[in-house]
Amino acid sequence: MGDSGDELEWIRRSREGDSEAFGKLVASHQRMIHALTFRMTGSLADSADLAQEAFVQAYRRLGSFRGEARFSSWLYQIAVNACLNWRKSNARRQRAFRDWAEQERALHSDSHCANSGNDERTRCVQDALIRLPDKQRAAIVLTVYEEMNHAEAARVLGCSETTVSWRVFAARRKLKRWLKPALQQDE
Amino acid sequence: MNDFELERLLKSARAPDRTDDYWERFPRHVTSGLRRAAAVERSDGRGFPRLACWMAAAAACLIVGFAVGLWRGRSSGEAAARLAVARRFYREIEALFPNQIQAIVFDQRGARLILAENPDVPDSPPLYLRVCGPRGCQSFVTFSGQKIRVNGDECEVLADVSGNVMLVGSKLFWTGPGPGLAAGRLRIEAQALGYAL
Repeated sequence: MGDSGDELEWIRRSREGDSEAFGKLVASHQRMIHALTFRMTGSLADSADLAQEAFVQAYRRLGSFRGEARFSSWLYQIAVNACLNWRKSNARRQRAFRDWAEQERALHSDSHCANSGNDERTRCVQDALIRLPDKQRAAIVLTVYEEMNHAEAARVLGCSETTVSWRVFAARRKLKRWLKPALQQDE
Repeated sequence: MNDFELERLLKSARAPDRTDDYWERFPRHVTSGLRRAAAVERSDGRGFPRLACWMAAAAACLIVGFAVGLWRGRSSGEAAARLAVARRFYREIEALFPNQIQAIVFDQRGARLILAENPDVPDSPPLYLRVCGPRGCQSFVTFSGQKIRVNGDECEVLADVSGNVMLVGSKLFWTGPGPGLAAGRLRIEAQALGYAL
């Protein structure tokens, strides 16, 4: 559904164990998966590891891809789950990072995002994303950056549309509060 | 401030791009990882022992066990001392270079440190490996996913959740668990360095 003929052919050949065909699938989706894993982790190194893990899992599960959804949506689902599992396994480190980030934030207060150039503002946004609870972050990444509607995001996240809507609403409320200085600077 | 403004701000923060070289290499990196994993699985399948082999091996082990027990009793003191030294080195160096240690190598020349350029080595339990061959013994403190040189061959160290360690190189494939398994003319031991640092 929606996948190109080339892509369907690569999927078929990958299922038969053709790693070169799978390499082509990786090449055509690697940027979007890296962007997703980066927004979920905020770390270049971790996002590369998770992108690789997502593709390895995808290869192993190719048999379960029925073509009912787009291949990219199916791949998103695997990558999001890899990120959520990674977050669980790194919970202790994340807590430590969050505590540290809270302290930093308290020191710099809102002026950090208000008096900032593009790079600083990008970091502000990424910091704010990382502060969100994992599932709210995933909902924002899929609906804002990947421009999925709530129904598509619900399929990827394995929950109801209502749940996605609630997560997006809650996340937006927090992001508006945290990013208020940066928004004001834009005006 | 409305949803549209927030969305515009969020989208203005682009994910960092990587070099063309990275994008070119990444698919090969994934597919070579898959091939390596498939090779390991095939090797596991070949090594699956039949019942008869198990029975013969069990009988042999009973006899050899007594001899090994006697020998290990004498050598375990030395092994414990080596492990203690490795733990001390690791503890001190990790404090100086957190998340940057790729390996600490102990050989006839002393201890050498292999550090990553940035402090981005993923958190994982430290592993202790000892490799003895015709040219002497080398010990390593390293982590799953790192590469070490064993007998001139660059090998990747892999550990599963149960702490079983594998060494995968172009000429060498070794899998634990426990000490004393030979890979060619090499004698390799691997274990978790231990959390009680």
